[in-house]
Amino acid sequence: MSSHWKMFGASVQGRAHRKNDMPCQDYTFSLHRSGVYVSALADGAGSCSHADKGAEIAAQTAARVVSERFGELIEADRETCVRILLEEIRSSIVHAPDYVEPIRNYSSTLLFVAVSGDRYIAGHLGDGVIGGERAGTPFVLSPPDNGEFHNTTFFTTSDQAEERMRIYRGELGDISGFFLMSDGAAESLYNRKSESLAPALLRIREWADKYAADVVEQALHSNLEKVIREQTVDDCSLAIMALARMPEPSPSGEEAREA
Amino acid sequence: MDDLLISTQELTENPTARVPICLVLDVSGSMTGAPIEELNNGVRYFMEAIRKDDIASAAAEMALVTFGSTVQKVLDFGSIHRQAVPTLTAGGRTPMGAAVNLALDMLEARKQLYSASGVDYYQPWIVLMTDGMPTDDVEQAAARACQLINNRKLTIFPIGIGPDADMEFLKKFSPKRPPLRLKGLNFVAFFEWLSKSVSSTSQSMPGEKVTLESPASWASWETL
Repeated sequence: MSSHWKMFGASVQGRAHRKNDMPCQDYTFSLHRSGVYVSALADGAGSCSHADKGAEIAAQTAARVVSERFGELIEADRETCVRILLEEIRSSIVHAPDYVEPIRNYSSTLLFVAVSGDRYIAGHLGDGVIGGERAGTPFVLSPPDNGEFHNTTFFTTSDQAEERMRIYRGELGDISGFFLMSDGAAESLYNRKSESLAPALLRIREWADKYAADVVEQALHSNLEKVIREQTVDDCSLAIMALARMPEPSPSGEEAREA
Repeated sequence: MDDLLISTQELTENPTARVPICLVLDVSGSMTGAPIEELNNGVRYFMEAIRKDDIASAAAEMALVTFGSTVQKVLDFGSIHRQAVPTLTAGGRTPMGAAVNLALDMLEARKQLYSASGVDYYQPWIVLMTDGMPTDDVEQAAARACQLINNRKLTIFPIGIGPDADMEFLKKFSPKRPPLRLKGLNFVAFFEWLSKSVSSTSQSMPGEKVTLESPASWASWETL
């Protein structure tokens, strides 16, 4: 069965990076290709010199690989999925123009969700949160993985990345939305104690039904900047996938967007 | 369009991630006079400096254990803006091993409380200060501390006060960071450095290496 998904994303520089004149190290990317819809988000590691570039490479590479190899990845075991994704991301990093050793300069977390037909695959390495909406109720698909301490987590270049990366696959059923957020945005949108999502996400999800894509994207950016960023010193990013409830133009075209 | 603006009521609130710091301080008889006065000044300076820093104040949780006539839990872990500044008095011997054991027990209990309450925390710190040598067995406490440090679960700052501080014993508690000797009675300079270090740590994000300032303002380099 063919369905159409709308995808939005936005990233804003955190107060700490603004104060220290450092770039935003969060990055979101969405890709619609060959009937596969992919939304990816990566959060570059604090003091790594090329973390912003590393986040961009990780999100773009994951989206490309998952869209091209959806059928293979959804059937493969977890270890194979993780190996394919990390090998491709690490290869993209070392082959990037102006690559500066060591690869740890490009460390980032990674979150992605891909949908094709009635199936989805999601992957998550490190902190941040992947959530969803099922029949009007929000749910957490993948919680943060920080290790024991607040300022530690796992990155695309970490020795433990292979064992820490989580892969989720399943039938969509009643799922009609996915939310991907960096740890900065999760500070306001995810309750660590109850492991639940903030009500704001359902309202954001509704915007996808009511407004044009450029309006939703602008609203996402504006809310990250004016409301969500105020609750943290970290960069904030949010990506949304929403099942179109209205008939949409042909989903066969190709589209890529970044934020 | 108001519909496109989220209100803070629709967000969730998470507690600030905590930086647990336990001061384990020698108040034995040899600290009588100027040393204990300067130590009190230093502790007061530290607490006031943290209170003036909004981010550090929300994050830092201090505990204070002294060792002298007895091993005493002067302050259990708590927010510094709610803690009364203590006045320490000197007397007795130097039961350092028992004091470090108590500090480690308190840290463990606090971490369990954080986890049960959904509170994130940073790697805990212990500041261990002495002007002499222990009068009890330190082997078990030192082994516990070293195991935590080697597993990256704890940072310890061992500080010697005055020429009689036994740096070899302090070294037993710190397999990675060499003990430093306080320059004179420069407690205030040390606690100023400590408050800045807490402030940097409380603002650090995942993957960010926290670089602490040089201890040159308070440490005597010739002992390194």
